[in-house]
Amino acid sequence: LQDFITDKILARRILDRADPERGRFRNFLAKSLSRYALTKLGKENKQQERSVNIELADLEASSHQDTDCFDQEWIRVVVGDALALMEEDCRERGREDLWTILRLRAIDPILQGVEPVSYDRVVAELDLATPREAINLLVTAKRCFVRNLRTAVGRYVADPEQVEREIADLREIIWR
Amino acid sequence: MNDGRGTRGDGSRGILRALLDSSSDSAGEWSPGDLAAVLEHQLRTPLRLEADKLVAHADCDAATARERVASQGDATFADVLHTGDPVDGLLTMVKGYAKASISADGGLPRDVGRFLYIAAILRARSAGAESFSKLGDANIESEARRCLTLTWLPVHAKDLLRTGLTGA
Repeated sequence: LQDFITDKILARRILDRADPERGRFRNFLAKSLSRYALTKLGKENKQQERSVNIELADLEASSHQDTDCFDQEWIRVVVGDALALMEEDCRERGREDLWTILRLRAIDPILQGVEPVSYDRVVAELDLATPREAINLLVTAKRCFVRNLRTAVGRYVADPEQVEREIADLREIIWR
Repeated sequence: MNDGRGTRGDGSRGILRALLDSSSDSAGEWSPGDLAAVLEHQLRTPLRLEADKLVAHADCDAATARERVASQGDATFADVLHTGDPVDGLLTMVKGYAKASISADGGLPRDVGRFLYIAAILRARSAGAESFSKLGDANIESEARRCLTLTWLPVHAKDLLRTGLTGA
């Protein structure tokens, strides 16, 4: 990776060739890295006078793996950011209830592998008078997360219009 | 900006799956035990706490409807479903409230709304209000029997439906 950054990104300025109209930057970077690794491996093997037979399928598989790896990291970063932003946002607005219900019902169960806290405990902990209040609170908390996800994504793209494209990409990636 | 919250890749993917496009029907988010707890909570909720929503479905003007709800004191949804009188309009309000809850964004879990809806109709029918619902008897009974198949439905709620079915 260090060689890739030195040889390609710094010396040959490959980032100048990234065209936003032709696809996602992550894919461009992943494919460039994949091609670089294979070329370098080929050269090293040739120097050692060994035959190299790299099939196209291997190249594509490798490229897909790299893309998945970049996508996975992208999801990890934006979700981590969105959660941090939401927690801060809820604290500043005095809406810790939104953060609490999302944490108890969705975040902790997924990240920590624990059972979602029961409805009765949620109601008791947040002092909710009616079921409608509890249900609406969870729906509002989810919307709050999605709003903060857009903010998180917006910090990594130059054009605000790209946010919706990235959100659409995230949808595609998570169900792939 | 990432603060190293420690969201593992699969966890992050799971969070997005759960939150990015969640349905407005919250039924899938609650376990059967939770659904029973939601219904129990709804049944013991005083009508006055949901006055705004109930009044929106009254068959009279808002001021009159509000007075009717207020006059019930601490009467609960369960009280209306057990002993409500179709004449005072409260069963109509509960029926409309339940129907709206079934479809409205952020409303009650669908099957909880369905139970309230059919229980209100059965109570009105048992009390002699034949034209309380546009649903025919066969549809009412079919829907009540469908509710009876809900495994999480508390025994006393099932008894209420059975009473409504046999008392017709």
